[in-house]
Amino acid sequence: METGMNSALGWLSGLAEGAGSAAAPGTCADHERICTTLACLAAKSVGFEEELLSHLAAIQELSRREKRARDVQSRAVFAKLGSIEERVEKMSNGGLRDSVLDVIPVILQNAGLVGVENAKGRWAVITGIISAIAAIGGGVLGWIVTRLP
Amino acid sequence: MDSDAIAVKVNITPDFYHDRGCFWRKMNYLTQLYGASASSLVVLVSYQYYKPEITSVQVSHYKEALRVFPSIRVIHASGVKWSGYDAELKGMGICIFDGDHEGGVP
Repeated sequence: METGMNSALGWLSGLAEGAGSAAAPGTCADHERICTTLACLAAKSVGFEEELLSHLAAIQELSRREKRARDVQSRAVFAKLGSIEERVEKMSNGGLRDSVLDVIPVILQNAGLVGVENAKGRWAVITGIISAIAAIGGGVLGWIVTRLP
Repeated sequence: MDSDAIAVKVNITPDFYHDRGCFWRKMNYLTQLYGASASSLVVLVSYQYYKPEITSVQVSHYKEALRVFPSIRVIHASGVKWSGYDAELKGMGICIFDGDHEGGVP
């Protein structure tokens, strides 16, 4: 009960308790009722303030944990892409290798959009995937054409 | 307290006793607000601002609430004890703290 609000609560509760006693001269039933109501309102207000702050802290903590989990997931995706890139670098077919290497930045760019919960985000991911597939297909076709007699 | 647990406070005020269904409304707000994360919360029900006598009906409310919020703690106003009911709540797995300890939250 150190804060200003809590002091007000203590004061009002004291008034409500003392309203009917000899310590509070000149009181009447209405006065007592008003003091009791004010004390109830003050208790509710202080309680609500505390609850609200606890919810804000809890929501912030939950969002911090979600962010941490997302970061771990992103790091795993980037590590996997890095290893794919490394393997692609060793490919002997130049056309196919370049096509696949062109696709990797597109995947990396869209990796951040996977978690976006709106239609625009989903659309961007789908478009990225389609362009990636098209690029790989083009590379494969080019490779087949070079192999033809 | 478990380091993974997230504490949220519910202060019992006089309107919980004048306004029927107030407790359940508040529990509904919590489930709506936290959704799937509700199970990782520690709900601190504090009687610091109001010190009523508890009834067996209210004890049964705690039993229901435990189904959604597995971790509930009761914080008494300093010096308050509910003879009989404190033991029943502890038997249900609800920890009881004195007002000065803030439900074991650092």
